[in-house]
Amino acid sequence: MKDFLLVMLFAAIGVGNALAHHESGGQHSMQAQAPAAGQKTAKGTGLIQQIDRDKGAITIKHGPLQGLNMPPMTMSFLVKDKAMLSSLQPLQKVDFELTYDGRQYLITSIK
Amino acid sequence: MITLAGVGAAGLSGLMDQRKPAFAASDSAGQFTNRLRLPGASGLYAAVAAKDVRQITVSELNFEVLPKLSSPFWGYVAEVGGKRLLNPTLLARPGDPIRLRMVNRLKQPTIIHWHGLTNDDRNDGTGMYLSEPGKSFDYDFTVRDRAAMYWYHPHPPYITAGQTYRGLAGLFIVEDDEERKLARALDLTLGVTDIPLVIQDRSFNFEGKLEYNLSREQMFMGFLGEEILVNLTARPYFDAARRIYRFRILNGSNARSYRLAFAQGSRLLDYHLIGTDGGLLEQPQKVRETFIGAAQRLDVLLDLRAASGNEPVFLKSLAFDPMHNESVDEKTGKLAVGAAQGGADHAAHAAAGALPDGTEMPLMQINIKSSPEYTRQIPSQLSRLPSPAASTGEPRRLTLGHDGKGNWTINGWRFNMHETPVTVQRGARETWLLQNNRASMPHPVHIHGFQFRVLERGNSPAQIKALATRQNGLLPQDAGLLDTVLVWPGESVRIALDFSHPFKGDQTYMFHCHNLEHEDTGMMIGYKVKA
Repeated sequence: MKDFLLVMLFAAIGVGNALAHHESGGQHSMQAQAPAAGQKTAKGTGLIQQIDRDKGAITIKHGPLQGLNMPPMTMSFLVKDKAMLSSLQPLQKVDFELTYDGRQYLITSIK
Repeated sequence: MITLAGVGAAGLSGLMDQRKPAFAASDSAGQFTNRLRLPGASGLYAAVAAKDVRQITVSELNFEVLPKLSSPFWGYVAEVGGKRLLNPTLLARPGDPIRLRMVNRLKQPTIIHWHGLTNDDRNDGTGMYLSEPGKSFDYDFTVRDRAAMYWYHPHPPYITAGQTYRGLAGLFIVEDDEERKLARALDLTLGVTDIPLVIQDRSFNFEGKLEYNLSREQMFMGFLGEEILVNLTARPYFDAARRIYRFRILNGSNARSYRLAFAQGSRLLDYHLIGTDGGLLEQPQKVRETFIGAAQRLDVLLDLRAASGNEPVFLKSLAFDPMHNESVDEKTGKLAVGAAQGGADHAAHAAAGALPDGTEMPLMQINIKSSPEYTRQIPSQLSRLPSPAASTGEPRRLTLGHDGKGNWTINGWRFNMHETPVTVQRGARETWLLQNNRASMPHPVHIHGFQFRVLERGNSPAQIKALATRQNGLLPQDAGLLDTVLVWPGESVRIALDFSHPFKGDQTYMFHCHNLEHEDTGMMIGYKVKA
């Protein structure tokens, strides 16, 4: 139970960071240019469930994310640039790449 | 919880899906991007005269349920006039002879059940006769029933749910002179302004392939999917003119019920119920919402002249209490000591990502386009129905419940292919009292072989009682002929049956819950009609 709460707390902090980061637009490119030490990247395939174009978020039912010890699940991610969502539709199959810097996930390419 | 544990090593900063519709009613704009599939001249749901179909091949194939994503799919394939049809919409008139061969190309036994049609037990497709893999089965019957939208689907014992889920289902529409009169009065054309709508919930894996893997607990509840499809179209839209449309709605879902309404913004539009499983009502019934259980049909007219402006209208399912009350105390109706709340228990057992039963959700977007003036009006009289059969004697009681060990039962019985615990006399008129326990969930009860009338509803839950418009607690759809009736926890439904039919010899039919997972796990009995 303790582990579970810790994971949930971590998740909540992560979510907060993800949203805060997203709203401070300019940091995206800065972080992309100077990735944090230990940043991981991963590739995935999934089915789009929902697109929030205003928030720049996308919900994907994805397969395993190799290298991140991430099993298949449905999650919402922020994208690096809202324009990446312009040509996407719900229930479209996509291949995507994301980064994880120890705090948050960010989709860097999707098609 | 499994997913969280798996994420632990890397942390979690994405937002976990919260098991709610991926699109809410209020923000559904832009989510409905796929044109509704309609019966055409070929392909899926193509309309064809049933008497012209000589063979239906039950096939495993690939089909793009989601746009541009091929998925394994099981279909009824027919070739007529050089055209290949998938799950064809079969058209017939009363008296038409149906002679066709079903060829089974699956790797498991199957049989077609002609849902709602009056047939002898061999042609009914009860599951007592099966076609093994690679074999065929010949049907030979006459259409004897009123004009209505019937349907056909698999009925092999224990494996019906999976076969239906993977795609095997089609419509069987019987037309007659009354139907043609209505079509003329309202200027209706099948596939254009007379639109069959098959509502089914499905789940897809991350590659867009149909997914059906249920735990024992999920079998007990029945399948609940992540997406609602209409005519195998995910998030569909339909472009309509400002006129009257006829929607013939089949709930082809394995287990899910819907509370159907048409909404423009927050305003619910009136619509008219004109028919049920067994065809037209005598008069149209004005309604704003109607429940529909699995396998039931509703025939409705929507007058889009009543819509304001060009804001889209949505066919939606309103929120309702799904009444997963399996854990309540039977005597008090309250939560049993030590038991989880039914709804919460149900949510815990539902597949991750599944839309919870009773969730409010839009099903289809109807875009209103500019159109020429339309001045037709709904006729006040549609048809004539015989009075319900007057029965003699006490009603036959059939109680729906579970045994506390995860098995649904009828009078405590579970399905046994070799037993017929109920026997009726051919020509007899009987009243059956379908009683659903309090410790239960809604059960759509289907009777093979005979259509019936609902005489009375008792102890209906408040959300049902609120929709009653007639004496004896009857709902608008209870004015019609039915082959399936949705019975809610604690409710008693009294129905009238006339066991007259022209078939010689004893006939054995099925009585079962059309929650297909319930059917497959034993909530079905055979009953004999003794000659």
